[in-house]
Amino acid sequence: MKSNFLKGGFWLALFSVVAGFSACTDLDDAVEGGLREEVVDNETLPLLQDPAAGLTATYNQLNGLTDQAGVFAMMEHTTDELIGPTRGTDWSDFGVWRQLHSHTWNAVHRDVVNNFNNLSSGYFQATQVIAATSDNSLISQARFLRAFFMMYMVDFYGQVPFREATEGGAILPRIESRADATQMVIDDLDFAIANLPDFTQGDIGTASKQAAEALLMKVLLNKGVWTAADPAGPYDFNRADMDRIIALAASIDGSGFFEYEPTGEYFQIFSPTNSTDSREPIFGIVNETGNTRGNTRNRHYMTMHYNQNPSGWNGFTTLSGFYNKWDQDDTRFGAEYPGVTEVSGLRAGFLEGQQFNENGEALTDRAGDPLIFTPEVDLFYSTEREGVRVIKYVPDYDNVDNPGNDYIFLRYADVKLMEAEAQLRAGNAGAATTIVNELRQIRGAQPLGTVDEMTMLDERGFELYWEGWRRQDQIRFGTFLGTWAQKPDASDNSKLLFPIPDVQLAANPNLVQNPGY
Amino acid sequence: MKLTTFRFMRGFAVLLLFLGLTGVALAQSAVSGTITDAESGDPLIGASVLVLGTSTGTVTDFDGNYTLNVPANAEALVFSYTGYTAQTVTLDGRTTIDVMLESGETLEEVVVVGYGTVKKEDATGAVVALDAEDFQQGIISSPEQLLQGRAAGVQITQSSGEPGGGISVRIRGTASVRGGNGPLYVVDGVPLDNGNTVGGSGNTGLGNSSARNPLNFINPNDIESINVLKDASAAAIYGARGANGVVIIKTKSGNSSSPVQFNVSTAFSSVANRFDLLSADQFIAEAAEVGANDVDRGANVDWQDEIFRNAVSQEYGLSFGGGNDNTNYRLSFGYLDQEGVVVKSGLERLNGRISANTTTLNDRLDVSVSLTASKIDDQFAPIVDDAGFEGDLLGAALQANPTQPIRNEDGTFFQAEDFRNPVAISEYIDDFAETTRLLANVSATLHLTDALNYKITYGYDDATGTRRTDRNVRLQVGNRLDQTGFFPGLGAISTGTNRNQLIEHTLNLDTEVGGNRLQALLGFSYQKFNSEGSFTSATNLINPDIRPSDALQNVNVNEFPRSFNSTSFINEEELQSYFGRVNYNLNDRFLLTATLRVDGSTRFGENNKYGTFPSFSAAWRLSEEDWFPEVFETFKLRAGWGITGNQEFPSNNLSTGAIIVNNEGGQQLANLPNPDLKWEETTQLNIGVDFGFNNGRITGSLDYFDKRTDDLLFPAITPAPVPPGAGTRFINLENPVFNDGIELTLSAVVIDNANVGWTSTLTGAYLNNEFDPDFEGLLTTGAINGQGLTGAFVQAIVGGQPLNTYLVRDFTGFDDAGNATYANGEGDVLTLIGSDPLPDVNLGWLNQFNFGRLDFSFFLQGVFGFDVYNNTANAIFLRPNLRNARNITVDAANSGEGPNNFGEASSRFLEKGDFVRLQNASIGYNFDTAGWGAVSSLRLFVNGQNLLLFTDYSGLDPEVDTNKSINGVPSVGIDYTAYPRARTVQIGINATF
Repeated sequence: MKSNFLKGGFWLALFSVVAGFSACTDLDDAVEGGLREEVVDNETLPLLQDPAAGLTATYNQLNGLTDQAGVFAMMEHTTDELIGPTRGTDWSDFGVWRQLHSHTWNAVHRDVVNNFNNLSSGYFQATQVIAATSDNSLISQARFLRAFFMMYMVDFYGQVPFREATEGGAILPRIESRADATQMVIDDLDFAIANLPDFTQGDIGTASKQAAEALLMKVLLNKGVWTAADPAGPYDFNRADMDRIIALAASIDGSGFFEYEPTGEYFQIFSPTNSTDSREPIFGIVNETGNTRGNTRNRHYMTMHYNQNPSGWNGFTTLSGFYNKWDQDDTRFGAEYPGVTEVSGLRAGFLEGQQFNENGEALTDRAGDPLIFTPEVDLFYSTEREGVRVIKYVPDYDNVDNPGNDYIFLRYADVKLMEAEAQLRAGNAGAATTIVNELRQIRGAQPLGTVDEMTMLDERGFELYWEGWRRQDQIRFGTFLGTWAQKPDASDNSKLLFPIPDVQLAANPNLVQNPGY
Repeated sequence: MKLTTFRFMRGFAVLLLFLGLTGVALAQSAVSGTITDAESGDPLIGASVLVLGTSTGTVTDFDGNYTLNVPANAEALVFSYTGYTAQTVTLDGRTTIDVMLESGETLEEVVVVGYGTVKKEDATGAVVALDAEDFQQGIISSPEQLLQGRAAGVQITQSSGEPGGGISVRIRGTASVRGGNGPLYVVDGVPLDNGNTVGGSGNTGLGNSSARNPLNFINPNDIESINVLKDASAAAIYGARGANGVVIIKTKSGNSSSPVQFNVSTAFSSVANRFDLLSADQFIAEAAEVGANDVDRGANVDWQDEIFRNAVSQEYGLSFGGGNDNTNYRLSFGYLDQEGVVVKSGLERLNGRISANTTTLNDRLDVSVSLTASKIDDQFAPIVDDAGFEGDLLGAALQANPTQPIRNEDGTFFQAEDFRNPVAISEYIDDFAETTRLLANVSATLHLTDALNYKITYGYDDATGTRRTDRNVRLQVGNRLDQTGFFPGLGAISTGTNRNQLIEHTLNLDTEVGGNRLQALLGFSYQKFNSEGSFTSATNLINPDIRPSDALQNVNVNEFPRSFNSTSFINEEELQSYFGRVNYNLNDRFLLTATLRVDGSTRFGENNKYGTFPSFSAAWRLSEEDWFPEVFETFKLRAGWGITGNQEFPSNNLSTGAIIVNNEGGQQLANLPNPDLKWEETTQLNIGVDFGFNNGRITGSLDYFDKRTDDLLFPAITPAPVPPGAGTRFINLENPVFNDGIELTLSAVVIDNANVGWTSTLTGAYLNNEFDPDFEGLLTTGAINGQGLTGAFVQAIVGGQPLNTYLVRDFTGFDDAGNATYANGEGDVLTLIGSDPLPDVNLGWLNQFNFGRLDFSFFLQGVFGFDVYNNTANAIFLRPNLRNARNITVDAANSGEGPNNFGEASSRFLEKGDFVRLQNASIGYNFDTAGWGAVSSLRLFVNGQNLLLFTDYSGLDPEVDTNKSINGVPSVGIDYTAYPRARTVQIGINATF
């Protein structure tokens, strides 16, 4: 019968169709839009295919360090030279600034958590580059960068989780002790010094032999702290380390690339044209106007008032204790800056008292009161006028939001002060005093009699204020746990380290929470 | 008392009827009789008698008697009564007609379940079936709104009042912290890819906004029914996509008598509630109170007036169909132009639909095709989810100094570093999206035998959108570019396409085995989802008079090399499924259903490619048992158990490895893959009853469910170090989420006779949500934005708590200085305060009346037992803001807060959200069109939406859900300058020809 035939034929067709479609896909998740590496287990990661581009990504990881939060916040808000006061409805920000200033941070604090991730990602990315190449140029740069990120981890957390380049997400990273990790950093830097080329004038963004030497000085200077059995000391700043620091300084000096800015030109170090106009920077991030990677604009945004030009976020200020230490003739204290002051009335350095615009007219705050910055601030209840503001990276009026100022991590004056400190710790107060006074003279400050620990720390403050090293310096000189304005209580020893973030403790049982948290 | 009311109502109805008849003055004769129940012989009270083809009629009295004057040309009378089969009796000159009505087959209601339909009385799962008459009325831009409050256990929250804005639909609670929580939508058999074509972030520099609802493309007038599969036994046929429930939308089809239908309406909308801000005079006085003495800029501006407007919307619809016994078709056209109540916002939709079906090959083959095409033009006001201290359009307007002139003397807008001029924002920002969507499907059903048929379906869904966002360089955002004197400006174009193709084969068996009905389904389905998109933006624009997105190259690249930003993506997903279902009806007493689906998905990891989703359910029609109380005509006990999945998590790169090149030239691993990754799995038990008594005049159902969701997709912190940007690795969490609840639907035909009708439907649901008490981690969400609130959050995923429980500083009041005090010292201690944003109880009450030709309905919605976080107040309505020359509300001025206090995120801004809303009331009149020639019916109506809101919430509306997610963990119930909801009055006409 015809209908039966149709039926039978249809069944056949149906089965072939169904069978055909049944085998139509193996459901591979094709990854569109990226180079792809197949991963079939949780314990393996692929090697980078392009180690040079991987190195670029490692450098890029530095860009986050220019933010006003993160590393900068943990290095500066915790110290005697910077405060983020809450101003009425402004800047409460979930208490992060208050907690840093009053040393009441905890294991869920934003910066405590984020720095742990970002810094460790930095040295892991470097590790991946090192594993993926045999090119010595790439490896030496990567090892320099690994040391750079790991140094902060050592400093902040006292424990360093380490993941090999190909260890996948299910592998628990091993933990390096503070002392062991310090040695890893030194080893990386020794390799870098031996293999990196010399500094190239104008390019502070590429790792150089001198950058590695300067970083190694920093590591060796703090090594006494980082290798101490108890983070609170005693610290052994041993002679061998100090001699090495002095030798490294001599090597940097001997390279002939670096020199102090001439007297009165201090703020040129931080200017929009500092790549070409200053010979102090050793390592940092290169920015060009309109083409910024490590944006420095937040350095003025975070402190300037709304009604100044450029408009700011009206946030951070210095503390009266630090402000009152200054010899106001010191050129580092403040100056008019060409290309800035005539444009907006803004000066570089410390901004205190009535503020003016470019025509000399007094500025007001948002409620119409005269904009007078006062040295005293209240951590919890400041007005929008309280606190002395600080401008180091002067604005680039050609492009305020994408300024050309290079961001500086390491610079020559720091090297010289580290050398002086090594001399002091090695018992050569005279040599230390010579170095410090040479610098002070160029900065227009009165020479000191003999440098001691406290004047050494103060000098680092005068030279390097708001540059992101103060916490290390105060710990080394034993003042970090003390009291200062808006921090009436001394801190206990546990505050010498930040806590391991709760989320990391839960994720990696190899980590042990630091004492006191 | 009751009696009197009844008589009054009847009298009223008769009066109306009389009025309706006054125009008809023909020779009449009286007909009388009695209407009784055929079985018992009892008189039927209030039964309806109608002259065939007219609206002339009456109702029976308490003895079942009626008398009716019928026109001389009348041919027959129609007798009807709810729950009885209607009878048409020819007059043949008689003056007495007694009628016995058979109680019985009430309208055979059909429930659409996946891949088929079942009689409602045979359904074994928890399914809500809604027809057009149940739908929400008014200006409706998307189908979910039709359901609001109508289906017990289906919570529909409009995230704001934005036309076409996002809607969150939660069927039986929230179960996922990272995957989607929305249901699967199936339109005429095609499961939709419900992604957005163009993202929400048409970032204007003011913040990110949320995307609009992708379901807006469906014209609500084309929808015949919506069925919601709530429990696992019903949804398991959709396997890995069924865990959040399934919404099955069936569109209208034509038949031989489809008339031409035409509808037109105009609606007038205005902002339903406004903030009670300080007036200019109050502002000056209050500012002085906190020490700001120089805030008077001389003008007197109501900034809310400047950005709100009275909006006019229009809607037109036309449809017709036709056919014969073999072939039917229907065509429809719709146009909606919905203006937003905020200036420069709205939605315009043009939409057409064709469907046809035919039967051929000696009735052996059915073929049907349908095609829906739509074009939506969205215009967005710059109201965003995460504005900073400058505010978005609404935030800027709320905080703007009311004494500040809008314009300078030279006619330019007044703008300053700390003052974003709302009028300038509106003037200088343009944000448009255009989305076209085509949904087509064709299917053929071959009846192999009387009992067995085979069906093949092909579906195609293609949505393409482009969004253009422009910020003129004259708007002060960022710092001035020295070279041009202007600000950087912004032009952005984003495009996206989502394409989804389905091919499906099913075999359906419908036969009898030993006198009992057996239905079986076997199917295979393959669906492919393609998505692609791109985003390009330019800033630092030169010529101020070129609209940025018209020419993104309007940039001096030498000077500003970083002016361009561009990204693109492409992705393909596949889903391959096998499924089957068996229904067995034993003696019409026991109904058994079993389903099984096996889903294979590209989203799953290598080691878990296929998931299996079974379900079993059974029903016992107790009312069929002799011993069961007669009072129930129907009483059915249902129980079901099943497993469903949720695969709606971010699709790419989670389960396999990838290396990407980022835009700085660096190469890094983008993710830490997990090849074991799989679907979230929900196991659900449902027990329910369906009942009906009093001749079907009272019906209802009651359900209890218990849901457990395992293998939650969770962004686990991978122990550091990890590649930059790959800090979380997706895993399936061991800790389950529990949802359980009770749902009740009760419908009553309170009055039903020819001239007066009143039906009332109450829906209610109670829901309890808890995350596994053994979970020890903490996941934060609910970002709070605004001045001084960087990094703030208020919600957390914590063990032993409902999802999105509030984790906040416990505010206890103000000290003598007016500074906030907190339960735990200085206030940086976060505590769980036993408050959450998930409503415990949802109620809906729909009442529909008709008085002859007049009809009236109203709908009340109530939502109880949840807290809203008022981010708007937290960011803006702080008394110390007066010191910054910013405006606040009268309440905030009188709050006792001191001038130096900081408004840290805390329980201070947590408010009870409970509300009752008169969501809808409408009144309509059906004209007597006899003698009107071509016009066969004409209805004039007035409809009001969002007429009354009863709540203690201090913001504009507690039904709100601003997107405040953190790292992809969604927030719930946070209000941050949400687009205000409108109150709308619509006037319209529906006509058929």
